[in-house]
Amino acid sequence: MSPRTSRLLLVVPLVGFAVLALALAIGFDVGRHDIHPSSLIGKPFPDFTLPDLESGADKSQNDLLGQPRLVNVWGSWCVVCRFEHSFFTELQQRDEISIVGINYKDQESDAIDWLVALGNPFDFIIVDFEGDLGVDLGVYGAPETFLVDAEGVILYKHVGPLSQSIWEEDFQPLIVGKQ
Amino acid sequence: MVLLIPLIVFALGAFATVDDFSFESEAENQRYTKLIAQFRCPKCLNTNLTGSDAPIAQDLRRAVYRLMQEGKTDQEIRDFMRDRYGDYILYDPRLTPTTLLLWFSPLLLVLGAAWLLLRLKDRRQSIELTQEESERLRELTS
Repeated sequence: MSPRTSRLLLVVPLVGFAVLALALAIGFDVGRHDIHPSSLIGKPFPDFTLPDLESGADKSQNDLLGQPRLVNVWGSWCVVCRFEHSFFTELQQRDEISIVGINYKDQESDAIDWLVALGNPFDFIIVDFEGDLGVDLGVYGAPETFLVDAEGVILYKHVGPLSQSIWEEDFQPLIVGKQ
Repeated sequence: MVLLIPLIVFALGAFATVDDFSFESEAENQRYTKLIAQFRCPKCLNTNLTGSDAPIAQDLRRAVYRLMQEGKTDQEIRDFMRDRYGDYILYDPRLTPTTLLLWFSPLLLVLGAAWLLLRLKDRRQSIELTQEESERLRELTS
């Protein structure tokens, strides 16, 4: 081995470190958006039979069919949901898409107080007190928002509060031509 | 007294996740304990279901218990979790194209290190001098 190549060998750890640093930097950046890519995308919305918050009547996955819908997992205990709520109110006023709520692990009276105080942008609200529908949806916190097409297939999932820019970037392109 | 501290800490850990589940047999109880240790708590990133008090971990432990009562096998329970929460939830991820690097990077590192060692060994051998060179070296140093 010539002295030149052996000197080159000294650079190997440095290059290794640079590659590792780069890989981690990219990994963290990718992970920031959604560390748990939903394995439910492209699959039908899970079966459920749960009460409607206002009427108490049973709702099922069939009630989601017929048009694209946003399905938003929220709870009155969830501070970020309060922040997100104004966006849903706006979206509902623009009449862009049907919004359905899943009231997740909440007290019904708290949920109703919350809607009275902040307004109700939801077409209907499903009560998931135990969190079983949440488990079937792979939910690990609130808020989470699913985009479901007219056939009841999950097109997209967003973890964290929804906003106008996320709506335009991630959701709108998916529903163009689906309405 | 100092010796008692770890005991207390471990005891608290054990009590943290006792749910109100009853099992038909000790074997079932052990199976449950083994299963919930295999799943990562989706909320807490670095804890399994056993060690977490997050509400979602409670829900998932309840799901594991319910599936066991329904007679599901361990593999069916693992599939149930993976279908909903993705590979992320398994502490022992499957071998897929996306996890290839994860599984084989240790092997790559070992091979890389072996290659480096071999090259260094070559270099050491190349220092050995020929007959002429050693004579010249003797001349120069004398």
